[in-house]
Amino acid sequence: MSDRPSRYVIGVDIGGTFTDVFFLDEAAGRYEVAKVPSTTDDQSRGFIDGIRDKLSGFAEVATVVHGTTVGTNALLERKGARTGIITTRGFRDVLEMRRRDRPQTWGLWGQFDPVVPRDMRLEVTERTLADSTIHTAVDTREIKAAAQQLLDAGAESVCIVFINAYANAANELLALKAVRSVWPNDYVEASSNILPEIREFERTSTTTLNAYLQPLIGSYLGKLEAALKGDGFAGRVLMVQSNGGVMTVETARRFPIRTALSGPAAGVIASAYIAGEAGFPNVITCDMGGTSFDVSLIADGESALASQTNIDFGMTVRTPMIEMTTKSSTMVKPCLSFLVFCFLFIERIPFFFALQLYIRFSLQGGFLMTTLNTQKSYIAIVLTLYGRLNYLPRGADRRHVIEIRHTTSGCASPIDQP
Amino acid sequence: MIDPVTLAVLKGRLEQIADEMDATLFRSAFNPIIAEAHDASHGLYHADTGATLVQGKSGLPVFVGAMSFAVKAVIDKAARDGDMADGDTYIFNDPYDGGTHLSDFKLVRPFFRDGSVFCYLASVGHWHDVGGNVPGNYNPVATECFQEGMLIPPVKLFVKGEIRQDIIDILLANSRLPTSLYGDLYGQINALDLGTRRMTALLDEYGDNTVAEALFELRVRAARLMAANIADLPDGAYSAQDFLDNDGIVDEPLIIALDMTIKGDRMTLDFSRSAPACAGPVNISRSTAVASVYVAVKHLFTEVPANAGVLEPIDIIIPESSLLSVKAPKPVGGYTETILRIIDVMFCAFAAVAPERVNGCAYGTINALSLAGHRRDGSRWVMFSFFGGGHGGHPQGDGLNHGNAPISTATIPPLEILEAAYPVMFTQWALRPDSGGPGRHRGGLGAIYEIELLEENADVFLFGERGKFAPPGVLGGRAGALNAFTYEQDDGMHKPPLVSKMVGIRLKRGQRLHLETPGGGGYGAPLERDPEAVVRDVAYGYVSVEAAARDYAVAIAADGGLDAEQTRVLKAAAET
Repeated sequence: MSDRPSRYVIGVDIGGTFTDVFFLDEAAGRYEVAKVPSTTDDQSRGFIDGIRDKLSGFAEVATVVHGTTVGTNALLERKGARTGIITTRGFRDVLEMRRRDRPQTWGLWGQFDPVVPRDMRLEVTERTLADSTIHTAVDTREIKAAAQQLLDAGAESVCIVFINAYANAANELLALKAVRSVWPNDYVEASSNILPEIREFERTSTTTLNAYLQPLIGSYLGKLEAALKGDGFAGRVLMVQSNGGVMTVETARRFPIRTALSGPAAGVIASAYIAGEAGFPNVITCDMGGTSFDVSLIADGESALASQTNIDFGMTVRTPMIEMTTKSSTMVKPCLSFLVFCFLFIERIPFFFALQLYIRFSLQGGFLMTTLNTQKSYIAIVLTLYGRLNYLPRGADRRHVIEIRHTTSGCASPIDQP
Repeated sequence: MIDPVTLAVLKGRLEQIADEMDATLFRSAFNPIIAEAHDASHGLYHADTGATLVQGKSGLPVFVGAMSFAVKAVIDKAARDGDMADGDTYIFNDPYDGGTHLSDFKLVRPFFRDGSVFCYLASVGHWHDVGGNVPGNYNPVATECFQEGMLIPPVKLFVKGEIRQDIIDILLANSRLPTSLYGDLYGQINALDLGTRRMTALLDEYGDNTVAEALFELRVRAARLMAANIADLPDGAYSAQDFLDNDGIVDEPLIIALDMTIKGDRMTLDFSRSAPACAGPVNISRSTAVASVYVAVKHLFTEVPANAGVLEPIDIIIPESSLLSVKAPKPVGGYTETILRIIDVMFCAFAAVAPERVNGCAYGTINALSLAGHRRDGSRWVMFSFFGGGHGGHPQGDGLNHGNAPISTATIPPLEILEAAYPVMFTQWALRPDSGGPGRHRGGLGAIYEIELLEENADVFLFGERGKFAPPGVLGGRAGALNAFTYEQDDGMHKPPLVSKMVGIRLKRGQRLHLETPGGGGYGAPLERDPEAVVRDVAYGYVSVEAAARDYAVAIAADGGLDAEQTRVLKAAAET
């Protein structure tokens, strides 16, 4: 490729297994794609390698649009930072008590390990009432002592969640200032800055998961920026948000929870676009990576936005996200084999016929419902969505849709590519 | 025969209709018991029998079984009157015909195709207040249903599409919270309207015969699968029993006993040894008892689809004189407590038959707490909520901390919502240490809730259970902690004389209520628990150092780690 300055827009999608890069040469109207293994020890390396695969230098890159599942995977695999919570006396268990729910309607075998264990959730004396009155003022010395205790216990990030802070954030903001004065890094945030809304569990969970991701995403973005700058990059990096839009690196660093479904969201947006261009306003998207399996629905060309999402049981995130169901791929084995089967033989076997075959096979000697329940939601989701949509294209146009279906988020395969 | 793909697609589509009806009501109801706690349910029911065809996934499990009786009550009424027409919708809350209690208002609508009923659509929701002696309707001292609330038999709310305002006027006049009632009622009507539109579209698309065939097939499969599951169990007779604290009137325990016989692919559940009908409101109607058996079976055999086919291979014996089969006007307001006990004895009986399917009993009481008073401006307020507790230990691990009742999927309203709506301040909302039943897999923890009154005064009502008989463990696992309720008066904290039930205690501004709910029962012998898991439990404050030594024979060192030396001594002593 030539080295004219600032001509490329690059899309990078880092999944748990592969990193995909899409190069668009705006001037020439051409594109290329690259696929390299993700580098789990330092995700930014895979990112840089993927770009270097095709480009000699970074000076000619104007914009990088980046979708990442670093956050999603850290949540699914519980690999975030050691995090502390400082909260109102009497309420340290809000995170663990959830909304008094259970994972399934039928069967009572649930378990839930909160990302912040009980001994890392400290209580302080303070209270704001629902009418916004400060009932008990906050004592900054007590806050600092709590912060120190969490640091001594190895906390890397901390969040402050006070009851009724949505009505009056004064106590929380005083505490935030006090913690920042002793905390050695930037990973300190208050619930009223992350989600200033009523409902203590949803606010606590969202704020906590944000804090849990902050060191990881922060360090990743730091390394990425350093590596890009080192290679002469002078353009801008835009991070894909879970709602399908983009944000700056600074915003992503402060609100890493907004990247919780970043990679998959980009896939859905791309799928909607490509399907629309191909004349299909209604599609089901299945994005199967090595770590997570994400299914979403596009109706009338639009993906649905959910105001609140659960990532596995009990990890509630209340921030606008593209509505999708995401599951850890390790639990998707039967479905996985089925999808691989479909993808491998896609040229020979129409998708829906393959689906029929698969279900008929599962039915032998058993019951359809057993199959559905054993494989939990995966097949069921697809069929339910299909039931909702009652749409699946056949015939000559089939291939386009199949390609959308196995889009690996971020940079969808273009429809006219051989 | 219908092809499996069409069947699966139609199953998804039908469930989607019920789920959408649930969502419509949750989003439009005025009262937090429905809007926040989701104490409601929607489904499709058989045109001739009322049997459950399809049920939403987000509604209350106990309604799955109960609603078929409600629909049957409407079918019987229509047969008597002979005047059912397209556009009609019936409304009622009669618990003897329709199950559960007076708070649950059922709307039942025949869905017509080409002049005949294709199926019924029904909606049930727990209204905030339906009259009676106690705001919120959990009256622990009721001796007749008339003290629990208004009783409406099946009547037409809509006649050929025209709403009858006179019925609505009667309902509004009989509630302390008419605005809330109005919002909930219209939410339910909208849910039915949506269901009607969706069903029409579905039938237009697939054809009536295909959908009817799918509904039939789903039921047949459920029955066949259930029978196959029973056939896999060893034949034999198994028994279990448990007790209710009291009936709210007389402080004597009431036995709930199950004698279960498994023979081939059929199962008989005989509740004959259970107590006779009692004076207070822990009686239930037969329809409610059957619905709770259904819930227990579905928890044990999760893979069987949720429809009426599940109960086909099961015979249920309940004598007419039993507290599990009462008729009007026996009080039934506290039905939740009794059916939770039915589920517990089912788990205990199954422990001997299918240990790989059971779990320790869950906390077993909903703790219906009602605070009611007037604000400074004279307006009335009623805070009514249910509280959570621990689930039992199970083959895969420890029980869930702070779960919802097995009969329900209801969530608890956020305390910030309660504080914003009512003049109360929570001073504690926490897990309760040492409440999980000891076991190889420990029972989940119950909770501690403490509430301070911010208004001049209020009356407090509590309807709970498990104050004297703790949630049992299974397979050597031990019981969870007892339910414990105390309230503040000028001379200090008090316990209710009937332990778990209390009526009309006056609270002053600044005084507190303190509720500690039971944990779940353990699974397997506590001495078999991994000592490192006990060390972790102590570090997290789930289990105290004393309880670790007493219940698990695990000694904790001064640094919080395992004291291996002393643990050996304790284990040796415990095993002799």
